[in-house]
Amino acid sequence: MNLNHDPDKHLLDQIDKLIETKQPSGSALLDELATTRPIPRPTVQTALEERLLAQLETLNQGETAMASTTSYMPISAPRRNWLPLTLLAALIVVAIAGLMLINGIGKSPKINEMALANGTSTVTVTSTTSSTVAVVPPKNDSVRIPGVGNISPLVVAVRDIPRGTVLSSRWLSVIYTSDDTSGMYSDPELLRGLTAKQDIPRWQPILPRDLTDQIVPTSLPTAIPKPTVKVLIALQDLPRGYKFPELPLYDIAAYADWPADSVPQYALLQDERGVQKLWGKTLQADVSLGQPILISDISGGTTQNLAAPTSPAVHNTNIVQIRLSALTSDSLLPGVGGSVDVVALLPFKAASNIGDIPSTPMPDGTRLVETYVLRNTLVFYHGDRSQPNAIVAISVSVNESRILAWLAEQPQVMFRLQNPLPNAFDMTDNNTIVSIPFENVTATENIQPGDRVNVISTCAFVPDVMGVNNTVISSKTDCNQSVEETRAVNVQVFIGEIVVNGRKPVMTYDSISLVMSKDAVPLFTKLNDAKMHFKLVPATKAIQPTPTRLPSGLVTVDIPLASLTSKEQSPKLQAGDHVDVVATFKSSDAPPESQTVITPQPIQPNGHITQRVISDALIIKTGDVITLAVSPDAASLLQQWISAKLPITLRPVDPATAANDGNSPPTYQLALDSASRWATDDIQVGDTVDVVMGFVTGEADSVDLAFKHYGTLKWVDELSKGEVFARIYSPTNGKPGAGGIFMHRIIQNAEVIAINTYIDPTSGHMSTLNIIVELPASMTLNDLSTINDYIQAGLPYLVIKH
Amino acid sequence: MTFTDEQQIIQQARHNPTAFRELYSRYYPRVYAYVAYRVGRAADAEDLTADIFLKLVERLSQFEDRGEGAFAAWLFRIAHNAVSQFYRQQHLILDISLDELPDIQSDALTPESAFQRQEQFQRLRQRIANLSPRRQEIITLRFFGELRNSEIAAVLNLDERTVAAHLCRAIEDLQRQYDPEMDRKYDP
Repeated sequence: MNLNHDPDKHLLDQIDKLIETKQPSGSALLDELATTRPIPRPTVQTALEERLLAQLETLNQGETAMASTTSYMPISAPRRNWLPLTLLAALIVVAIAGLMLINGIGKSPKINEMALANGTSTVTVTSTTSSTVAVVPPKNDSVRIPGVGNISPLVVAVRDIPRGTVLSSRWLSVIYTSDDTSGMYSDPELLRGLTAKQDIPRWQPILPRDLTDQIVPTSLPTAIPKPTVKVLIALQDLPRGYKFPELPLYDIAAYADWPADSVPQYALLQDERGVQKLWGKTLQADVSLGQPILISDISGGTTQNLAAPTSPAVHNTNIVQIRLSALTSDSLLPGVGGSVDVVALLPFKAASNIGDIPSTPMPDGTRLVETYVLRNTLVFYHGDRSQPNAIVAISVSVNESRILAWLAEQPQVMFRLQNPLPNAFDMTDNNTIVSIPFENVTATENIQPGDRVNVISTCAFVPDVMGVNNTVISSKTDCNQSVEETRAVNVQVFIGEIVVNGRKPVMTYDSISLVMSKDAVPLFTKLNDAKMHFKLVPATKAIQPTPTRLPSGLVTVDIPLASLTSKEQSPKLQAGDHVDVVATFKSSDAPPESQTVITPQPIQPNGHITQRVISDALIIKTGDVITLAVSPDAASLLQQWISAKLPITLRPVDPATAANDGNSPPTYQLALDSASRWATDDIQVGDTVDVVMGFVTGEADSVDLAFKHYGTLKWVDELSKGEVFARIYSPTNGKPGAGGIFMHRIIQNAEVIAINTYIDPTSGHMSTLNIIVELPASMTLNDLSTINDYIQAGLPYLVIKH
Repeated sequence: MTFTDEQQIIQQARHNPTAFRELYSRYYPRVYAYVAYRVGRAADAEDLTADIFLKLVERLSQFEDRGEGAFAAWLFRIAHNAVSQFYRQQHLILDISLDELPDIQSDALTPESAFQRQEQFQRLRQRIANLSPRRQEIITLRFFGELRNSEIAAVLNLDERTVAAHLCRAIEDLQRQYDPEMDRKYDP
């Protein structure tokens, strides 16, 4: 290829130079592509490097060993390296398991039984906090392979396990190895519910020293946004000696949000009208752009009588320090000045609930008693959690401070900071506490006691052995079938918290307890028995209708996913959403009942308009089959659509038919005919578009308004580059400049709320009849009138998707 | 690093930890940046990148050096396959919150700056997602994997000129999405 004649050469050279030199290219897009670069976390990169080197070394040793012996799978190699031998091992294990079952020894003995059964070969590990944490059973489940020797199962981390994680099957896997596995675990069930005391890298064997049955605080960062205060910063580099004018400092300094926990001492705060302290003063130190300006930086500035900005000292209180390492988690660590409840987790365990005293279920079946709660305390200070002895200082009343200080000195007392609880939970006579094991719970946001959540089950059930439509739930969930179903709405979290630290949920308790109606207990008992997985979603302030309680007058209809024309949208649909159901067909074939269904669009005169809409259907369940709640009439029609295999689309509820609260400004809608010919892209309901109108100019009597050449002329490119807003178009071949048209954007940021299609009666092809756009609220009646004039004049237009 | 240097390092990396470290430090950031753009979530990108390098270690002895750029193309073909496999296994396309996004290179160290950079990454990734799958692949391999067009051609089994043409069209497509607002310059 001769690059000298390549029209793209300049752009390619520009890209080459940019990537090679990292110097700005002059193109904002290219520069953004080159500089918006994800960077790995150094700790992750380093950890992987060490694992790879170990892996490489193992492989190299393996090469040598395999040349002279039949040595079997090395421990540190991941499972996938052993695939050639896995099948053999699996066959042998299946055979051995069969023999064990026949002999009645197939069931793994429990920990304590094993410890009693063979004290000499049992390894007991005691943690530094003197609690017995884990007992490793003796090896009785190894398999001997002729020519190879014994291979034994070994529990390894199937993914990186962060410190503080309560182990479940999702973290663990079993591999087989010929290496010595004494003191290591062979059955992942034995580890369920134990907590990782430290980070355990992926593929590493789980060792007793890694585990504890105690709550472990996580030191991972929290996703909770830090509170900020307004701090005065320099808007330009200010040299020493600079004298501030006695005027508003618009372009010199301004207040900016600053993390409340790292405000420099003597910074100037908005609350203290700090900017006025600068007027007429001279800088005694250089201050760079973006740096806070300190009172100590200016002449005559005095730090006397200035409280540290981060010290919201309160009268008649004492400050008590709590080690950050004594917190069960940092799911809530508000900035200085934040209000929290402090819950002391006393090291007393009970076999069951003790009256009304709150307690937390623990992995060993006991409950940790929480007996001391300080309400609405003030965070006075908290340190950098990366420091080993960092503390959080709480401002509490003098009386309470003595007790809290004593508790804080006790090494076994843990604390939880939580949002101030409401005065009362929803504990009416009809309500009770329902617990869900944490291992079956995920959450997208931090969850704390007092929060209100919706509980959504996320898996399908394998039909039970009775096969009675899953009415008897007796089997495990099949998470390969993702079906979300809302099980409870707007329930309150009573005990337990989930920390979403930005990457993975880290759980610190065995289960999370929710306040629910007593009626829900049988259902959740069955769901828990079946190990159903749940997702907790913060409940919105406006309580959504409860899909589990069908609104009166509605019936349900199941739509197979295969009937939907836009399957890619289906995952976005959730139980509780309201949608319009749209079917497209020849009106001559329309069921007579369809006439009773209200459609937002008028029936077209040619009799071939073919869209019908069932408005405001409520999604009850999603999955391979979507269950909707609609009126009986609509249900009957919908069944006919499904039977006739008509293409069906679900779309968000048409804003035009949505209830108006009376406060929103009026908006206008515009129907654009024949939009498909002019669209730059595939336009969908919900898209934001601009509408560009074409105008004739010059002496163009024979202007071809079909724009069939626009692709060649690339006038869309010219538009998007912003250099010119119009391009002269020569309508007659061979007569450039004789006339033309130019484009004018008449509508900006309009939302497509409906697209109507029809089937051509002669060709049978489906075409777009028109699209309905909702105009921005900022448009006036005059604008609308002008646009209408353009359309009435028959000018062509183009719909450009954002 | 010259081509010959890299050849020697690749050759020695199989048995020499120092050489392997050199190779790893050179390619890990590029593979991670490419994968992060393709999958979005930092945790997924870290997992996938780990898988890719584990495969690299497993198959390093099988690598046949066929000239300049062969190793990069070989490694990124593993990465390309891993990403494809990832998407085949994902049944749901979930919205990704800013908290889950990877850290983005930034000169400034303030939290606000980091947040803004992540927003910028999110926007750019959404624009790239509007491209055709092939152009998405090519533009991410070029800018974030930092592969040359010839190397991309080897990864995707395409002609180098085809890659160049797709790259230019992808830039043009992005440019159309990129310019935010246009002032009215003409009135009818």
